[in-house]
Amino acid sequence: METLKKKVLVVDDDEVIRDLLINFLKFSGYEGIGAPDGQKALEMVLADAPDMIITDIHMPLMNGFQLLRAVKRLNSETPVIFITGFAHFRRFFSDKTARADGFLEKPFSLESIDGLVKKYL
Amino acid sequence: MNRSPARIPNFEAFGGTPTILVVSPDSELTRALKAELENTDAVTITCVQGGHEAIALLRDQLPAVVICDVTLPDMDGFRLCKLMKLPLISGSDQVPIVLVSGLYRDVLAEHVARKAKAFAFLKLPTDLAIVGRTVELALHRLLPGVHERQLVNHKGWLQVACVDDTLAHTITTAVEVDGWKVERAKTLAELVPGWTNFAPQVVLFGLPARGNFKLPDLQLQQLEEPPTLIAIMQRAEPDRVLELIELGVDDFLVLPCDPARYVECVRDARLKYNFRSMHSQFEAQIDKLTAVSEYLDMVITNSHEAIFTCDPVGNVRLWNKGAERVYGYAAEEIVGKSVDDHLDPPGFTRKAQNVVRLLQQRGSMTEPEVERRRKSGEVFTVSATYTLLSSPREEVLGFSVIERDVTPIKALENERIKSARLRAITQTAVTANDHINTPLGIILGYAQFLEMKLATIDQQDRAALDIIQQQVHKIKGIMNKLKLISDPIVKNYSIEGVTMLDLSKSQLSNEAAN
Repeated sequence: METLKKKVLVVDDDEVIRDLLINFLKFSGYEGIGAPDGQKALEMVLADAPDMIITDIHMPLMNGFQLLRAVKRLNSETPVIFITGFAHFRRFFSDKTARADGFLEKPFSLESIDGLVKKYL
Repeated sequence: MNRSPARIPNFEAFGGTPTILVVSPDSELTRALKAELENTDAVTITCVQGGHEAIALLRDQLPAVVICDVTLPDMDGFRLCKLMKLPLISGSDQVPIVLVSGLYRDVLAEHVARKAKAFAFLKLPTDLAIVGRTVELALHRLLPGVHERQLVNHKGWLQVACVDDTLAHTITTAVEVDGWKVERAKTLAELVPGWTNFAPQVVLFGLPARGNFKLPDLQLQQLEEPPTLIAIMQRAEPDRVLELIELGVDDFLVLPCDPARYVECVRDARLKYNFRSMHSQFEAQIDKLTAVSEYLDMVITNSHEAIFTCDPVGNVRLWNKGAERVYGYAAEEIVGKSVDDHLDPPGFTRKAQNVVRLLQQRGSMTEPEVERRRKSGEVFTVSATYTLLSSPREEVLGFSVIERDVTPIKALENERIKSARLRAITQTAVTANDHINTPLGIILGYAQFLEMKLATIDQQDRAALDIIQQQVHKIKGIMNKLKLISDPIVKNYSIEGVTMLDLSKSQLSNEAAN
């Protein structure tokens, strides 16, 4: 049954957050993989084809919005969820070309992550 | 009346073309004169700039005519004219001199020119067109006409309108002997139409012995220099005289009278004419000066800026309405008093005399912000420009100050600084939000994760984890409040390469508000 595990990509430049989310996802029965920035994340999207992406917005090299657009262009089915400390991004969390599937403000509770993951996977 | 005199035989029997010497430092005038003289047949033109240069040239060769500007760098044209009329250089006294001037245009200058024995006096630019004609007259190529007023040997030009031929002849003979040029006609009506082109200086006209005589419309107001009018009457009639005075007649002759009386009357008229001409010129000049001074006065008085002047020790000399408005002192209150005592705020060390010293070094200076004190005692800020006032002999007369009250501008600037500060604070708040929220998320996440992972955790440990979570939520509440402060400016927030849409008006914002 190992191969049936859904793959979730966690993108955040903060390693602690990344580890927390990966550990939580593993604990909840998913396969969690991590990337420190948008560019690396895009490479992993191409290589590992994750079923879902949880991403920060403010990151080096490629920000969350750019990643969102790239992912949606590759495969619009893949759900993308933003997590950010910039509470105000809630207002802007989509633009005309791509719309995120969910939005979480830091600090987020693990239940809300669980809820979103369950909703899309 | 035929005004163009017949061309007389050419006297240039010596061969070659006559030379015309133009003396003027004004290159523009020289060019204009040359352009005019080009229409004159067979003349050579030489130009020099000053009187001494002209005299040096005269020693070698005498020109046929000299045209000389009155304003010369080394001597005036009148003097050059006088020098030439002295028998210093053989034959120079025979050379006709045409004086021209754009500066001296009155009868006094004409008189001086006559005394200097000039041939003609041209007032520029009015007389520029007759330069060529005057030169031809000087060369004896033409005979002068009666209205040739530029020729100074004419005492004046007189018109006589009289039906009685014997009387007319007597008058003409008498005044021609005195050096006047006379033109004759039967009636005044014949002469009047010509006045619009050339008006004579004096007009003598006869009135019939009896019956109602009606004067033609003289239209004197339309003439630039109206002639002096003399009526010749058969007998003195007071009513008639009054009526004529109202029509603009200046003098009367009652017949019969001595021929000497005609001459005297014409001389008086000439004086009157000269006086009138001077008077009108002075009046025009005074009008011009008054207009300029009134205009400047108006500019200074109505200026919104405070404008005032001080003498070298700092006593106020001039104080405009703007200064009254800004400072609250009326001109009567402050003029003659020390500017330092009235306008300096307490503890202000730079005094008027320091200003004078600074201005002597720099000429003028501007201070964008300087503190002043109003009559009410209020201290406020002005931007000031100081200029040194000095006489042509470099004596320091004081200084002028132009000030603008910059209090409103300053208030605006303070507002701008405040808003910039607020912006910085909110920007910090936005950043802090993120920087705090991330570790908060980690703490909360791990607390929850631990709680989930350690399903068999004891009551006390569970309570401890709950407290951690509660405290995180409390900090989050504080951060949310901070978020509200920064809200208004976040609309402009963007991160590189992404255009943010403001969805605040959409459902999302309602959701956020909840």
